[in-house]
Amino acid sequence: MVDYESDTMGYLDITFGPKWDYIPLSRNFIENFLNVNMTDRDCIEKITMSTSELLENAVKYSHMDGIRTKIRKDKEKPEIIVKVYNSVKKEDVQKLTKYIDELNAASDPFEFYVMKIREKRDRGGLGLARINCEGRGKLSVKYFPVNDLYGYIEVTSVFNVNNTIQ
Amino acid sequence: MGLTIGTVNTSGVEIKVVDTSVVFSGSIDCANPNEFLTPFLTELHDKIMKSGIKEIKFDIRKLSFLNSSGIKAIADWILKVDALDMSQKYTIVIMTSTEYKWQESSMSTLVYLGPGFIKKVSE
Repeated sequence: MVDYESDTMGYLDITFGPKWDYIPLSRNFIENFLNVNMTDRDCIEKITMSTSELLENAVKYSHMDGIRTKIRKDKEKPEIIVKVYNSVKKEDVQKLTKYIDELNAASDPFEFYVMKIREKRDRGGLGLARINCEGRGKLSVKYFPVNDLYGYIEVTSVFNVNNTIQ
Repeated sequence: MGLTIGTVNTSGVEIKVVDTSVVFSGSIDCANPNEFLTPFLTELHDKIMKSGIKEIKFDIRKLSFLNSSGIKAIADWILKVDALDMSQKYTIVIMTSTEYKWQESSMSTLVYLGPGFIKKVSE
Protein backbone atom coordinates (compact mmCIF):
# COMPACT_ATOMS: atom_id res chain seq x y z
CA MET A 1 0.00 0.00 0.00
CA VAL A 2 1.14 3.54 -0.65
CA ASP A 3 2.90 5.16 2.30
CA TYR A 4 0.63 8.20 2.38
CA GLU A 5 1.88 11.46 3.87
CA SER A 6 -0.79 13.34 5.78
CA ASP A 7 -0.67 16.97 6.92
CA THR A 8 0.97 18.21 3.78
CA MET A 9 0.08 20.56 0.98
CA GLY A 10 1.78 18.17 -1.41
CA TYR A 11 4.64 15.69 -1.39
CA LEU A 12 6.91 13.66 -3.62
CA ASP A 13 8.51 10.35 -2.70
CA ILE A 14 11.32 8.90 -4.86
CA THR A 15 13.40 5.78 -4.31
CA PHE A 16 16.33 4.77 -6.50
CA GLY A 17 19.29 2.40 -6.46
CA PRO A 18 22.57 3.83 -5.21
CA LYS A 19 23.79 4.86 -8.62
CA TRP A 20 25.18 8.32 -9.21
CA ASP A 21 23.47 8.59 -12.61
CA TYR A 22 20.05 8.81 -10.96
CA ILE A 23 20.90 11.95 -8.96
CA PRO A 24 20.30 14.42 -11.84
CA LEU A 25 17.07 12.57 -12.65
CA SER A 26 15.87 12.88 -9.05
CA ARG A 27 16.98 16.51 -8.97
CA ASN A 28 14.80 17.24 -12.01
CA PHE A 29 11.78 15.61 -10.33
CA ILE A 30 12.39 17.67 -7.19
CA GLU A 31 12.76 20.88 -9.18
CA ASN A 32 9.51 20.19 -11.05
CA PHE A 33 7.73 19.49 -7.76
CA LEU A 34 8.94 22.83 -6.41
CA ASN A 35 7.91 24.63 -9.61
CA VAL A 36 4.36 23.39 -9.04
CA ASN A 37 4.39 24.65 -5.44
CA MET A 38 6.48 27.80 -5.47
CA THR A 39 7.17 30.93 -7.48
CA ASP A 40 10.44 32.06 -5.89
CA ARG A 41 13.09 30.91 -8.39
CA ASP A 42 15.96 31.63 -6.00
CA CYS A 43 14.38 29.45 -3.32
CA ILE A 44 13.60 26.65 -5.79
CA GLU A 45 17.24 26.50 -6.88
CA LYS A 46 18.50 26.57 -3.26
CA ILE A 47 16.32 23.60 -2.32
CA THR A 48 17.13 21.72 -5.54
CA MET A 49 20.87 22.23 -5.00
CA SER A 50 20.59 21.17 -1.36
CA THR A 51 18.65 18.01 -2.21
CA SER A 52 21.23 17.12 -4.83
CA GLU A 53 24.03 17.50 -2.25
CA LEU A 54 22.11 15.27 0.19
CA LEU A 55 21.65 12.65 -2.52
CA GLU A 56 25.35 12.74 -3.38
CA ASN A 57 26.17 12.01 0.26
CA ALA A 58 23.58 9.23 0.39
CA VAL A 59 25.01 7.52 -2.70
CA LYS A 60 28.60 7.95 -1.45
CA TYR A 61 27.97 6.50 1.98
CA SER A 62 25.10 4.06 1.38
CA HIS A 63 25.90 0.61 2.61
CA MET A 64 23.21 -1.11 0.54
CA ASP A 65 20.74 -0.51 -2.28
CA GLY A 66 17.96 2.05 -2.08
CA ILE A 67 18.14 5.82 -1.60
CA ARG A 68 14.81 7.34 -0.65
CA THR A 69 13.96 11.03 -0.95
CA LYS A 70 10.81 12.58 0.45
CA ILE A 71 9.98 16.21 -0.10
CA ARG A 72 6.87 17.86 1.24
CA LYS A 73 5.26 21.22 1.61
CA ASP A 74 4.05 21.73 5.16
CA LYS A 75 0.37 22.41 5.73
CA GLU A 76 0.77 24.71 8.73
CA LYS A 77 4.11 26.44 8.30
CA PRO A 78 5.78 28.05 5.27
CA GLU A 79 8.30 25.24 5.05
CA ILE A 80 9.58 22.73 2.55
CA ILE A 81 10.96 19.63 4.25
CA VAL A 82 13.40 17.32 2.47
CA LYS A 83 14.27 13.91 3.94
CA VAL A 84 16.85 11.58 2.44
CA TYR A 85 17.23 8.00 3.69
CA ASN A 86 20.06 5.57 3.12
CA SER A 87 21.54 2.52 4.79
CA VAL A 88 24.70 3.17 6.76
CA LYS A 89 27.29 1.51 8.95
CA LYS A 90 26.72 2.33 12.60
CA GLU A 91 30.33 3.49 12.96
CA ASP A 92 29.73 6.29 10.41
CA VAL A 93 26.67 7.72 12.15
CA GLN A 94 28.40 9.24 15.14
CA LYS A 95 30.77 11.19 12.91
CA LEU A 96 27.90 12.57 10.82
CA THR A 97 25.81 13.48 13.87
CA LYS A 98 28.77 15.28 15.43
CA TYR A 99 29.44 17.18 12.21
CA ILE A 100 25.81 18.31 11.82
CA ASP A 101 25.82 19.47 15.47
CA GLU A 102 28.98 21.43 14.71
CA LEU A 103 27.34 22.99 11.63
CA ASN A 104 24.25 24.01 13.57
CA ALA A 105 26.33 25.48 16.37
CA ALA A 106 28.41 27.61 14.00
CA SER A 107 27.74 31.28 14.66
CA ASP A 108 28.40 32.19 11.02
CA PRO A 109 27.42 29.58 8.39
CA PHE A 110 29.32 31.51 5.72
CA GLU A 111 32.60 31.50 7.67
CA PHE A 112 32.15 27.79 8.39
CA TYR A 113 31.57 27.07 4.68
CA VAL A 114 34.62 29.11 3.68
CA MET A 115 36.71 27.26 6.27
CA LYS A 116 35.62 23.93 4.69
CA ILE A 117 36.45 25.20 1.19
CA ARG A 118 39.91 26.27 2.36
CA GLU A 119 40.74 22.85 3.86
CA LYS A 120 43.82 21.46 2.15
CA ARG A 121 42.84 17.85 2.73
CA ASP A 122 39.27 16.94 1.78
CA ARG A 123 37.69 15.59 4.94
CA GLY A 124 34.15 15.57 3.51
CA GLY A 125 31.20 17.60 4.68
CA LEU A 126 31.51 20.45 2.17
CA GLY A 127 28.11 19.62 0.64
CA LEU A 128 26.39 19.85 4.04
CA ALA A 129 28.17 23.13 4.80
CA ARG A 130 26.93 24.42 1.43
CA ILE A 131 23.35 23.44 2.29
CA ASN A 132 23.68 25.24 5.62
CA CYS A 133 25.14 28.38 4.04
CA GLU A 134 23.96 28.80 0.44
CA GLY A 135 20.82 26.67 0.75
CA ARG A 136 19.83 28.05 4.17
CA GLY A 137 18.58 24.61 5.13
CA LYS A 138 18.36 23.56 8.77
CA LEU A 139 19.90 20.09 8.97
CA SER A 140 19.25 17.23 11.37
CA VAL A 141 19.88 13.49 11.39
CA LYS A 142 18.18 10.43 12.90
CA TYR A 143 19.48 6.87 13.05
CA PHE A 144 17.29 3.78 12.90
CA PRO A 145 19.31 0.65 13.82
CA VAL A 146 18.62 -2.61 12.00
CA ASN A 147 21.22 -4.63 13.91
CA ASP A 148 24.41 -3.97 15.89
CA LEU A 149 26.38 -3.06 12.78
CA TYR A 150 24.00 -1.39 10.33
CA GLY A 151 20.93 0.78 10.15
CA TYR A 152 19.31 3.62 8.23
CA ILE A 153 19.79 7.32 8.54
CA GLU A 154 17.24 10.01 7.84
CA VAL A 155 18.90 13.33 7.01
CA THR A 156 16.41 16.18 7.12
CA SER A 157 16.74 19.68 5.78
CA VAL A 158 14.04 22.25 6.50
CA PHE A 159 13.70 25.36 4.34
CA ASN A 160 11.66 28.42 5.21
CA VAL A 161 9.90 29.54 2.06
CA ASN A 162 7.74 32.37 0.83
CA ASN A 163 5.58 32.81 -2.21
CA THR A 164 4.23 29.27 -2.23
CA ILE A 165 1.30 28.42 -4.47
CA GLN A 166 -1.71 27.30 -2.48
CA MET B 1 47.71 36.61 -27.47
CA GLY B 2 45.40 33.77 -26.47
CA LEU B 3 45.70 30.51 -24.62
CA THR B 4 45.87 27.13 -26.31
CA ILE B 5 44.30 24.43 -24.18
CA GLY B 6 42.37 21.40 -25.42
CA THR B 7 38.60 21.29 -24.92
CA VAL B 8 37.34 19.12 -22.09
CA ASN B 9 34.18 17.20 -22.90
CA THR B 10 33.21 14.73 -20.22
CA SER B 11 30.52 13.76 -17.71
CA GLY B 12 27.93 16.18 -19.10
CA VAL B 13 30.11 19.28 -19.29
CA GLU B 14 32.14 20.98 -21.99
CA ILE B 15 34.93 23.37 -21.10
CA LYS B 16 36.65 25.21 -23.88
CA VAL B 17 39.16 27.99 -24.02
CA VAL B 18 38.57 30.72 -26.58
CA ASP B 19 41.31 33.33 -26.68
CA THR B 20 41.49 34.31 -22.98
CA SER B 21 38.03 33.04 -22.02
CA VAL B 22 37.20 29.74 -20.34
CA VAL B 23 33.67 28.80 -21.36
CA PHE B 24 31.59 26.18 -19.53
CA SER B 25 28.39 24.56 -20.77
CA GLY B 26 26.34 21.69 -19.35
CA SER B 27 26.42 20.67 -15.70
CA ILE B 28 29.05 19.53 -13.23
CA ASP B 29 27.41 16.96 -11.01
CA CYS B 30 29.57 13.85 -11.31
CA ALA B 31 31.17 12.14 -8.31
CA ASN B 32 34.73 13.34 -8.87
CA PRO B 33 34.83 16.48 -11.01
CA ASN B 34 38.33 17.18 -9.66
CA GLU B 35 39.55 14.36 -11.94
CA PHE B 36 39.11 16.63 -14.98
CA LEU B 37 38.83 20.10 -13.39
CA THR B 38 42.09 19.99 -11.44
CA PRO B 39 44.33 19.02 -14.40
CA PHE B 40 42.50 21.50 -16.63
CA LEU B 41 42.82 24.38 -14.16
CA THR B 42 46.46 23.49 -13.45
CA GLU B 43 47.26 23.67 -17.16
CA LEU B 44 45.29 26.92 -17.44
CA HIS B 45 47.16 28.46 -14.51
CA ASP B 46 50.56 27.37 -15.80
CA LYS B 47 49.88 28.76 -19.29
CA ILE B 48 48.57 32.05 -17.93
CA MET B 49 51.71 32.40 -15.81
CA LYS B 50 53.95 31.58 -18.75
CA SER B 51 52.19 33.91 -21.19
CA GLY B 52 51.97 36.86 -18.85
CA ILE B 53 48.24 37.29 -19.47
CA LYS B 54 46.81 39.54 -16.77
CA GLU B 55 43.08 38.93 -17.13
CA ILE B 56 40.94 35.95 -18.07
CA LYS B 57 37.21 35.46 -18.33
CA PHE B 58 35.63 32.50 -16.54
CA ASP B 59 32.31 32.18 -18.30
CA ILE B 60 29.78 29.93 -16.53
CA ARG B 61 26.66 31.48 -18.03
CA LYS B 62 25.70 28.18 -19.64
CA LEU B 63 26.58 26.01 -16.65
CA SER B 64 23.27 24.80 -15.24
CA PHE B 65 24.60 23.07 -12.12
CA LEU B 66 27.80 22.86 -10.09
CA ASN B 67 28.17 20.52 -7.13
CA SER B 68 30.28 21.16 -4.04
CA SER B 69 33.12 18.95 -5.32
CA GLY B 70 33.27 21.15 -8.42
CA ILE B 71 33.28 24.28 -6.26
CA LYS B 72 36.16 22.83 -4.25
CA ALA B 73 38.24 22.19 -7.40
CA ILE B 74 37.68 25.76 -8.64
CA ALA B 75 38.35 27.17 -5.16
CA ASP B 76 41.69 25.33 -5.01
CA TRP B 77 42.75 27.10 -8.22
CA ILE B 78 41.66 30.48 -6.83
CA LEU B 79 43.59 29.85 -3.61
CA LYS B 80 46.65 29.04 -5.71
CA VAL B 81 46.35 32.44 -7.44
CA ASP B 82 45.77 34.11 -4.07
CA ALA B 83 49.05 32.68 -2.80
CA LEU B 84 51.03 34.41 -5.58
CA ASP B 85 52.88 37.69 -5.11
CA MET B 86 50.78 40.68 -6.08
CA SER B 87 52.91 41.27 -9.20
CA GLN B 88 52.21 37.73 -10.44
CA LYS B 89 48.49 37.66 -9.79
CA TYR B 90 46.05 37.77 -12.68
CA THR B 91 42.46 38.95 -12.68
CA ILE B 92 39.64 36.42 -13.02
CA VAL B 93 36.37 37.81 -14.33
CA ILE B 94 33.57 35.37 -13.53
CA MET B 95 30.67 35.79 -15.93
CA THR B 96 27.35 34.60 -14.52
CA SER B 97 23.81 34.44 -15.81
CA THR B 98 20.75 35.75 -13.99
CA GLU B 99 18.92 32.72 -15.43
CA TYR B 100 20.66 30.49 -12.88
CA LYS B 101 20.11 31.92 -9.41
CA TRP B 102 22.59 29.53 -7.74
CA GLN B 103 25.43 31.20 -9.63
CA GLU B 104 24.99 34.40 -7.61
CA SER B 105 25.54 32.82 -4.19
CA SER B 106 28.09 30.18 -5.24
CA MET B 107 30.23 32.63 -7.17
CA SER B 108 30.02 35.29 -4.44
CA THR B 109 31.76 32.81 -2.16
CA LEU B 110 34.53 32.32 -4.72
CA VAL B 111 34.91 36.09 -5.12
CA TYR B 112 35.34 36.28 -1.33
CA LEU B 113 38.25 33.83 -1.62
CA GLY B 114 40.09 36.09 -4.04
CA PRO B 115 39.82 39.62 -2.74
CA GLY B 116 41.02 42.12 -5.28
CA PHE B 117 41.67 39.79 -8.18
CA ILE B 118 38.24 38.22 -8.85
CA LYS B 119 35.31 40.14 -10.29
CA LYS B 120 31.82 38.86 -10.95
CA VAL B 121 29.77 40.14 -13.86
CA SER B 122 26.10 39.12 -14.12
CA GLU B 123 24.19 39.21 -17.39
